Amino acid sequence: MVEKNLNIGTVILAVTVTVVLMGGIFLMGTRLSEEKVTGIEREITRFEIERRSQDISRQLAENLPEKNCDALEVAVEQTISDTAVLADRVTDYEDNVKLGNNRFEMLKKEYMNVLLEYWLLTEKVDEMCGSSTVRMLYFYSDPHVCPMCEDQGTIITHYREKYDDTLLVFPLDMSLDMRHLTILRETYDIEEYPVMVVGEDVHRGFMDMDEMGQVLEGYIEDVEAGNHTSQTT
Amino acid sequence: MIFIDMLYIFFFFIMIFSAVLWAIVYYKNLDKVTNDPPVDKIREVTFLVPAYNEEDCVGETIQRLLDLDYPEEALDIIAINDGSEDGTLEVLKQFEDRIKIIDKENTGKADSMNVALEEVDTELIASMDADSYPNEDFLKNMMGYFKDEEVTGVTPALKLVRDDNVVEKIQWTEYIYQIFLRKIFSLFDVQYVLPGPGSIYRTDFMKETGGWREDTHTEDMEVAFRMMSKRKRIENTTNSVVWTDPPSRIGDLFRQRMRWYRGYVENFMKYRGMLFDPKSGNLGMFFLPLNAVWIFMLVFLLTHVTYNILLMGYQALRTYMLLGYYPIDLTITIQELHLFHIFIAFFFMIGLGMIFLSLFSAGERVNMKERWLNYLTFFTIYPYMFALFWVASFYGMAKDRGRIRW
Repeated sequence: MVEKNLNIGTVILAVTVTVVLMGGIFLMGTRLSEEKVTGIEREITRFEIERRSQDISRQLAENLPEKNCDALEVAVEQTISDTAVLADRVTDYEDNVKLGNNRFEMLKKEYMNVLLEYWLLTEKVDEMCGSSTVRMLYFYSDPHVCPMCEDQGTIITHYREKYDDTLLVFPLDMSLDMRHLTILRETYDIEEYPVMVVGEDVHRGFMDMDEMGQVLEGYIEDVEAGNHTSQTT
Repeated sequence: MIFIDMLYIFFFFIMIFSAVLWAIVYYKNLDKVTNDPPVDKIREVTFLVPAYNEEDCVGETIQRLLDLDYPEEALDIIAINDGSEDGTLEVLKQFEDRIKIIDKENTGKADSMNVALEEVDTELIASMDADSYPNEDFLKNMMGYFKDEEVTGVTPALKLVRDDNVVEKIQWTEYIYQIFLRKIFSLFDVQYVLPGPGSIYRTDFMKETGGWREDTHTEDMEVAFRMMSKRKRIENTTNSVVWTDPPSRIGDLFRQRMRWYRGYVENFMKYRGMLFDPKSGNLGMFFLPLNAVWIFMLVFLLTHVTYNILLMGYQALRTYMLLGYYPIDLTITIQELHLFHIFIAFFFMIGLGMIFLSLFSAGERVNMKERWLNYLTFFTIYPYMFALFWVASFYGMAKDRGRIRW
């Protein structure tokens, strides 16, 4: 019986070429991941610059003899859409992660910082000029801790798009280990998610379309009627 | 990276490795892809044509065999009427002065071939299904391979006689692709099937090893496994074309594939001793394990893709129930792209490359205008169908063991 040939050399060459090709694809994947994170980073930087500009405007308005609240309100409205774009980008990134990126973990925290700073700024603008927006703090966590958060997010996105120039949503990822998130958790006595804080109302657990619609409508009507009162305390 | 992603990466590795391996084998043997060894002498050959209820096509098959460009004195034809209930025998009798006819009770294809084998006294045997026929120069391209004593079988290129409906169009591209693959497999010495239409066997080998086995769903595959287990070679030519009649309905295709895939598993199990045996060459060491991974991979992918489609449907329904409508967003941002999309784009390019090589190997031209649906269905429906047939075959094997049918 004749011995069969074994083409080990061919197989080894094929494995080598495959490894090189896989390496190339992974490299492209890493580059793509970097590009995505850089995109978010750029958005955060832009958002941060916007927030600082608004804060300077607020300080100027505070210190000048005549307050220019109209200009401040216009600036806040512009930032609402920036917040939404940034939130979408972060969500899209998180939904499509195949290669982890350490920079994103840091950026996510930076994003939370910027959001909270912006929230505090709008508080101050409200105190000075009265409220022109409805603000919602949305506390969520990962699906293992909060299985209903995905559905809640869908409903909140719907209302954010519906009231696109009035409703400001601050989505806060409570799975992140950040000191000020812990402070907020303790302040609002949060044990389970989702939790939504609108004005002085703290809503615990999942809210369906109707419930959330009723809650928001009251606040939206107040703002649109020019009943400028501080929204969140 | 989660476990399922790691599994996908492993599958991507296997896919790329397979494509690279075949590309290397192809490149190393460029001169052999379309060139066959010259005919050293005229070898006597007997065609065996088993027929069961084939009155519509067997006449043309016999006529085409009689018209072959080969010395008449070196060519015998034995037609076997396997207890047909239609007019097959009457059609065959029209050729009785030029061919030998065996009329017997219906006992199945393998037994019919064995009955005819006893009558064969030529050096070579060629099988020809009654619904297939060869090109005129069919034999001349194949004979040169038998100069090598270790070659016990040679396979031809199979093409479909028509590609009118979607089921046939999918198979058309598959057959073209198989011409390329079969050639690569022969160059890598891992051919594991001698197709019923047009394969040529060394008579001595068939007689000495017991002819065609009746205890398998695919007797032609069993012969190939047997040859390989006895360290023989099976060669292939892309220049000898056999035209075959494809199943036109999905049900018929399903039954055909169930039989093929079950036959493959039966023979895989029967010859499992070849697995990882260096003496079995590339087939046992590399190809059979790789094929096993491919089958598992396809079944897994089918299951996982189905699960994901159902999950997407469920999520869409859930969103609709939550909002009272479904928000449609057709924009794609860079944030939604990830590593797997790069792999998919790469596989698409590999697929295109394979199709071009297949068309070249099969002597076909790229005809996007007329064949676009053939290529499209092959890329979209075929992989899903292929995996589905495998799942059905495994289910069939678990449910119904041992029944052999035509």
